[in-house]
Amino acid sequence: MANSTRKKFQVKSKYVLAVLLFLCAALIVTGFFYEDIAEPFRSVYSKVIIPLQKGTNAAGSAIAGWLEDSDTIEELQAENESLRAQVEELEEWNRSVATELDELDRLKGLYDVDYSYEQYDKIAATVIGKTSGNWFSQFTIDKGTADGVETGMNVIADGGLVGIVSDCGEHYAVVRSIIDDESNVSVVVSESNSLCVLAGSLTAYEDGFLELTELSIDVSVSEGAAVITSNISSEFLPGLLVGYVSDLSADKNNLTQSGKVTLAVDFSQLSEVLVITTLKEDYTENLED
Amino acid sequence: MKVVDFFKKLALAGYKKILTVLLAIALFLFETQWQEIFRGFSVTPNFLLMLVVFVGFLAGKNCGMILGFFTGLLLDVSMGIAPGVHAAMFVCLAWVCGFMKEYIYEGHVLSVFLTVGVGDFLYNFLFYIFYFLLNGKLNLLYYMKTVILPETVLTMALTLICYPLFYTLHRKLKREKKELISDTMIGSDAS
Repeated sequence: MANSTRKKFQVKSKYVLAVLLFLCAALIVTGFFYEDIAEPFRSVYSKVIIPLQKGTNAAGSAIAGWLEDSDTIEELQAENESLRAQVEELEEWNRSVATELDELDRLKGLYDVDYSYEQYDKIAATVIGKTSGNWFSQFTIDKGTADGVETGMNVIADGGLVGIVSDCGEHYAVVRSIIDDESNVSVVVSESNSLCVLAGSLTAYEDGFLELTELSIDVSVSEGAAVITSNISSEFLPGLLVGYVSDLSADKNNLTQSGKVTLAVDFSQLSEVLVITTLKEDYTENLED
Repeated sequence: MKVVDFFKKLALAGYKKILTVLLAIALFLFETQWQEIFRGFSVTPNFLLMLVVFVGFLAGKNCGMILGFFTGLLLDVSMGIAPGVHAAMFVCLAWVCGFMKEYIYEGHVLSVFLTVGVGDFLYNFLFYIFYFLLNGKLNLLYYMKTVILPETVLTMALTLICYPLFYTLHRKLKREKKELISDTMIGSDAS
């Protein structure tokens, strides 16, 4: 009885298929012209999924913590000893750097440049999850338009560049990291101020570096030179540290050289990031004024 | 009494669907935390595609397509790409699964296993074409080796574990539903 009445309401699946595919096509096509078409979906996502994701992120971190807690006491003691040694070493180094820092400030004052990040306003945000799929190196943070985050803002952590906000909802933002395959950052090597391109790559990062390309052959760069974002980039603010040059060799065309860059940020351990609220466009406009 | 019966029937008609939606959200959240939990693994399996295949196989074309549409939208929005891309792919996949359901015994793990494999492979391949090949990244073999195949293999392997669980749950719920329906029918007859 119940079955027969239910059968009557069964819609033919080819109509459902046609309607759904038409909806998808309409969404994709209108999405090309009006980006706001995604806005209702974003706001639902922001209200329903993001709060859940914040909760599960805490649970996920806790599980990861348990999995890692399996270190034995001996291992921890050994680690502790080596860390103590390292702390002493670093303290020593810190003292020597502190003296150099004064000199640096003085010289910076002379040159009238300011590479520190303090000039920018920043918002702290928590990473609440990686986006699905293996194609993009993107992650979601818990701050959105309601907190002043906008698409195109730069994201830093541990004093190094992490990525750029690629999509933004009310209470979340998607950050495309510089190790993403789609990412190309225009950078300069600090020693020579010569321009080059840092291309993101899916696997190069797994080996611990990114590839630096299109550096002029005439420039000689020493290992460990800092790589910072350049002035000409349309998306990234100038002077953000990206990483350090580790391995350079001439290309086959004998015009350019390419090499490896060890990144300043450890992407596997990312949990807190800072969003710089200055957009590159506004920054250049201010400079012109 | 009639009001109670009405709600009971409503719950019976709806609770499997509600469970599926909750499961989809839970799997999505698990997927986003996968790399946090398993730090050594650089590959994330595609749980949502798996779920769409399962539902297409067990509940038929319509349910599968509607689930595929909404989970696809969820993925699109979460990745910040044009809404509708994943949705269209998942709807097509669910239709194919529903089509196969009419010919294949639903407890046949091997056919689900192969469908998930082929579906995940095609999904990733299309994704490569639209987002990478059209951006001038021609190195298919490299992407095949680093993204497409690892994900497909991992997703297929997890299907072998997840499908029996899902199928048992499906059977159990179906049986309970039948019992409950007969109970309520007897109850309404008595009144």
